[in-house]
Amino acid sequence: MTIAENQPAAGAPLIELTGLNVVLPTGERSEVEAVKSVDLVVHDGERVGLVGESGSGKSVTGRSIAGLLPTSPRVRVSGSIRIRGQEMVGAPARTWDDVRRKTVGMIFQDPLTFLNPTMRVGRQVAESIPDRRPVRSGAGGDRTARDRAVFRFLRQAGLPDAEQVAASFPHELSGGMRQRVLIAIAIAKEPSLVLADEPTTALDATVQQHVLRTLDETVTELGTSLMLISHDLAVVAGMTDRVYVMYAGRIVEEGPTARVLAEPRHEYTQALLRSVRSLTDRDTDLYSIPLALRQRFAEEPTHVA
Amino acid sequence: MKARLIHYGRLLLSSLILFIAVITVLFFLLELAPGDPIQTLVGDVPLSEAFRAQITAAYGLDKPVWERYVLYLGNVFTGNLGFSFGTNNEPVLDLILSRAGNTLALAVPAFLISTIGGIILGSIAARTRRRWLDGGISGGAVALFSVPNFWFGMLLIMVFSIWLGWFPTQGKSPYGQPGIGLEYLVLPVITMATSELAYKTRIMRSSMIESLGQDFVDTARSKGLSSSHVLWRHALPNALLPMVTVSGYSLGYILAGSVLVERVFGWPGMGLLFIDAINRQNNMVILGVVIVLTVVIILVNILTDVVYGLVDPRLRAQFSPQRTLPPEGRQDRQSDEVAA
Amino acid sequence: MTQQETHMVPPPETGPTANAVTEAANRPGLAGAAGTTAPPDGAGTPPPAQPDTPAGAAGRRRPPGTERSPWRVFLRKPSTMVFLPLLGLFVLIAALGPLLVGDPSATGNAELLAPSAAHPLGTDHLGRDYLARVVNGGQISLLVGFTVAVLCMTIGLVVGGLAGYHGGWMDTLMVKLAEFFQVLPGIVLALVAAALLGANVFIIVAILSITMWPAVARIVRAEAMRISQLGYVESARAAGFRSGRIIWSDVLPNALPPVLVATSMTVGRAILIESGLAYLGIGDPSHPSWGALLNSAQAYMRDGWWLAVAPGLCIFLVVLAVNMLGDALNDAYNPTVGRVK
Ligand SMILES: Nc1ncnc2c1ncn2[C@@H]1O[C@H](COP(=O)(O)OP(=O)(O)OP(=O)(O)O)[C@@H](O)[C@H]1O
Ligand SMILES: [Mg+2]
Repeated sequence: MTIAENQPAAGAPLIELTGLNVVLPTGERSEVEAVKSVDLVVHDGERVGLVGESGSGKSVTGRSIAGLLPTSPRVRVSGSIRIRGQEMVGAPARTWDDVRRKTVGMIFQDPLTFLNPTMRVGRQVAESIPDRRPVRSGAGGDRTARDRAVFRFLRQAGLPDAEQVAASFPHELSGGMRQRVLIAIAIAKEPSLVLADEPTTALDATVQQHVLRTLDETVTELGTSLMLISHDLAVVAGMTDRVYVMYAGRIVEEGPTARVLAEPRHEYTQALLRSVRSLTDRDTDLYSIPLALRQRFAEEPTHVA
Repeated sequence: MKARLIHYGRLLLSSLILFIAVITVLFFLLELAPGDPIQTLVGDVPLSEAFRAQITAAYGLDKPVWERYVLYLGNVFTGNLGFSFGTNNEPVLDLILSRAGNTLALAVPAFLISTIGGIILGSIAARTRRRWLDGGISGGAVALFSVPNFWFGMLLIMVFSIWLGWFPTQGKSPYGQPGIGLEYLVLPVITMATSELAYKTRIMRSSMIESLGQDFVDTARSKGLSSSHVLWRHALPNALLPMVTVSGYSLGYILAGSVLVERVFGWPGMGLLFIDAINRQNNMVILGVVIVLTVVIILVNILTDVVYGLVDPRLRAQFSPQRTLPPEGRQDRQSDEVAA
Repeated sequence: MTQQETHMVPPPETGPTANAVTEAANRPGLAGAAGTTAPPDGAGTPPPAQPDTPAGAAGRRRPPGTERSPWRVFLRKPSTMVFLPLLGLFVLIAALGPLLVGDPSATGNAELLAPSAAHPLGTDHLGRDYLARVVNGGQISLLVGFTVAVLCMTIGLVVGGLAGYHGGWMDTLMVKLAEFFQVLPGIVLALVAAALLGANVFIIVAILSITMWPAVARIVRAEAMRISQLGYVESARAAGFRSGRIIWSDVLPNALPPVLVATSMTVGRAILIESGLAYLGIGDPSHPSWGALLNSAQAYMRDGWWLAVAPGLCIFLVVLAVNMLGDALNDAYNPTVGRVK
């Protein structure tokens, strides 16, 4: 590739995956192709959903955008990941650090395990604020300005008692509060893209709604793009404009969210919707996708409708 | 706060019970020992009538078992560990305390070296991408862990003292001089430190690997923090928690190991006192050393518990009543369901 | 005592790998973490939208059945291939060697002869053939090591199984007992007992077993606690099976790999402690073990280095072998590469 190709280009989409393949080791000799020739685009200000059942490769796709795949040398990534036109496959660690520092903020699934149990929440948020990062125990950096910023982001993430929360350890907070802390961490860098990987799966239904609303509001306020990964079609339906449907490592369907949910074109999406409805509607029999169909889907090459 | 007091109260109580249990076991071992009880108590040496009377009085040997047991307990708790049979029938406690400094001179440096070294080596082994480095450190740790400690000391003497002549072979200072010579200290401290170092390196390695594999490390990485910042500020503090407990135990093991190391290097500490007492069947000294050792170990255990409670914020809060979440364990993710 | 339970790790005597195993036992199963646990055959009706059948997983993954069995993984490991034969060799020498090497207490050779063709390990300060002494000494060391390990395993299985399975006072009692032996390092207790009761092999074996069983018991207890909460044990219990039978047929097979690991570590620790005791002069003087040989070698480090080298090297190699085998077994049953980070 030429140098010109590698420069951030004006007008390039925020995120552009082309023919992305990710192979992960699963045992001493076995490996899994978690992501197979995936094409995916996120434009500035856009809200994109990524749905699919467990193990379909959503998280791996999301993590490759944030450069957070396992660091083992046996992990193989091929194809192209462009962030604002800059090629990131094979990019040095510093370039990735830069992207994570400024461009992509990631929110993870499990609020219990994704916060450091031995560090106060305020500091965990502060670490995410670029250039106001705590410089060696107090010295340097404007302490109060940083603290104020921390409080601001915590409030923005829906934690009005920001001062108190900042002084707490994660275990002192409820699950919903912790998830909001994760949101605060992700937005504290004022990123171009908020990448939320099942941000509410671990929460109970009512808390889920609140947290989603907060996420919705903050993303709107900051004007950032959102990529929402979920296996929950209802969540994606309410929050995104466009959706990708993933199955067995491939994108099987893509389109405006409303259209995909109303008239799915790919057989898998149809089956997925059917199995979801069978769970929620009382008068439908339980439906799970038959094995034969699954096998066929898994073998089929990608064709984006 | 109240809950914490209750916790420490319980800890003290169970420590006390443990201590009494140890003394009880020792007492009945003495009872079980064959032969004349007084002879057993002082060992295989001729006795003066005066001394015999003194012991009979001190331990109430003419009284029934349970009365003697209570008497013995009382003696121990008042610091009366009996008298050493010797030229001047020194009180056992004085004898032990006069040797304790020499043992600590070995044990404390060995403890510090093994703890700090274990943390550093274990972290390096856990983090490195270089297989040979990890393999070297881990393999070395298993090897050192498998070496009989006293034999390792003998090898050190043969190589560094006899062959190379760098260090003296025996003792703590040149003959007749008081104090401790630095060159006398080197080999015994190394010997004492090695197996603990090996053990702590292994613990630290697995604890660091575990810590680096935790989810919050991903969050730290997602902030764009440098990998060294992630390692030292995020992974290390969490990886150190198990080391607190391990270090607490290790002091007891280092002190117990001093029996062997002091014998190898002829180091006049508590360990050598213990061995001499065993060889001369000076039983009151034997029991005295064990009791002192038990007290030290129990105190260190309490200290470990306190330190751990201070270091781990989860435990710090575990005592506050409003706490609801379990300290460990994940919530059920239910992530295998396609829809909620 | 919840706090103690959460952060107490076994003391060094249990060995690091045993510790790793206990940790591993607390972690969620590897298969579960990967989200591929198939419902056991005939275990009720499968859940409705069980999405992750093997075919649904992304890409080609080896189905669970085709992974090599842990036992075979263990046997194929390079360290197993080195240390299993080595350990076998030592056992063989200990068993048959004494018949081949002649009388270990026969004097008459020159004193302190360096190793030579006639005396491969030289002679000691009384002119006795050192090879004969070392070979005979191994018998004691290995015998003590393996006997203690077998006794610890037996006690650990029974006590740990009952405590974990029944809980209640049995459990409390076991935990308290284990704590007691955790306080006093085994070597100290062994020294006292040997000094007061006499220093024969039986007493040493008994004392070591009494002090070292908690390592195994702890593992069995954890496994028994886990198993006793699983559904199928409930049903076995409902069907009227006795607890002993359930422990035997359900707890044991699951606990066996970590128990074997802990046991192999126990062999190593027991040999080390026995050698330490013998080095301090506690032991049967008419059958000197490796440690006792080192005791007499101490005085001849300057003029007879081989006297100190050979027995120590033997102890080291045997202990290294059992520890390495324990590690390899542990690795085989708890592969760390399952899910890389
Ligand atoms: N760290 C890893 N090491 C090895 N395999 C992995 C790893 N992470 C994911 N995989 C595998 O990659 C595939 C895709 O996993 P991924 O986590 O992306 O699924 P997902 O769509 O996010 O599912 P879920 O809804 O359960 O989060 C799965 O087969 C999974 O087992
Ligand atoms: Mg996922």
